[in-house]
Amino acid sequence: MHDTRILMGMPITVEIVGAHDAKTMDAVFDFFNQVDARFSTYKDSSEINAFNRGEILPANLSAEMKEVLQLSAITRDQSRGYFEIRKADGTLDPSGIVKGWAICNAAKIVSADGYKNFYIEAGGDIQAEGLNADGVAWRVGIRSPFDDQEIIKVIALRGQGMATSGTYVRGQHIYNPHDPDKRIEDILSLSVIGPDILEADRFATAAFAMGARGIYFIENLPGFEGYMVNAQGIATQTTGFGAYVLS
Amino acid sequence: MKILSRFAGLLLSSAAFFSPAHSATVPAINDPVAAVDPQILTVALHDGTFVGGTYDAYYGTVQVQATIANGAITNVSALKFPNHSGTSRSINRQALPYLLQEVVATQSAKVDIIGGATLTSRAYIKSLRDALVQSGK
Repeated sequence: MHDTRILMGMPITVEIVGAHDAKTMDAVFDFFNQVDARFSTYKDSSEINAFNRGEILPANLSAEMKEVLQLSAITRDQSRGYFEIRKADGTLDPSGIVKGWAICNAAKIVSADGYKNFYIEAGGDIQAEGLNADGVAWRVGIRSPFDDQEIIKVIALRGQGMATSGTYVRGQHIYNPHDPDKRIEDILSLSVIGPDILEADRFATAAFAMGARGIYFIENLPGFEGYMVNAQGIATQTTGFGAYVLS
Repeated sequence: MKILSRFAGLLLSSAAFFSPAHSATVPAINDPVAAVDPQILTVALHDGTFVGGTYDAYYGTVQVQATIANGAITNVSALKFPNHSGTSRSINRQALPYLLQEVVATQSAKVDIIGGATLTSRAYIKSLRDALVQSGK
């Protein structure tokens, strides 16, 4: 069973091999709707916006919000400050971690219903479990930052997550917190494969903010691989990335 | 007049290669500076297909085409970009630690899923809208 819906301002696709009713599918999309309602900085009524307006005390935040904020703090420390959700005006914007966190939890919903072979893709970030309907590892294309109709790499995922950070999505959505006025121009995209999509997403975001040095940060991170594309059309890959490459 | 900051990244990725359209068949973008600096991208766009110049990207040339409809960018595609099949090779051996580099090349293999940060959400929504309009006729 395969379904794509537009939520959180992006297409979200779920494929569950062997699913015969929509129960699990509906539960997954319901969950994404709840995440959007809680974390969207575009919705006045969201919990994050209410918190940023000072209407909610930290102690009264939902368990989900506390978890995401805690994960953000951990990631900031692990990335030596390159991952930062606190904006210049003092408000918090955890968007850089919410997508990966949401996909990861959505995958748990599907697993809990007994399915072993499925993927969830939201805005280009992916968690792929088990095998595809043909019984082989999920084949994942990495989209070209130069042309969104083209793919530039094909990899096999089996249980991992892959997240991509780039300057070519929704404007310049990532900046270097150590130098906020400097745009990240030398690299266009950094795709990171990690143990799950949450891990891949938070380190992709952090590493991308480091610019061209980000790929070395991923290289030194056990259990992670990366593929970085710069503005000249040159890709740099981590030492173990090749093990995932199909073509 | 459209405020195009939302599309800044789109042009950022091509800013190095994108010239104010030189082709006689396309209207010029009013302010060439705006096409280069995404921070001040507040130009009025005319509808049509805009072809940028061809620029040397060191390992090949890059040329992009932008389609504007109703004052908004609806598509940007690379007419040319570094794409030398079989030229995967190691470059920049000075980099430490040594990491494999290659020229990006278009792949044609069948895939189950496409990943990567993208404009696709926008393109997808537009395509979907088109499809819905078609289906409503």
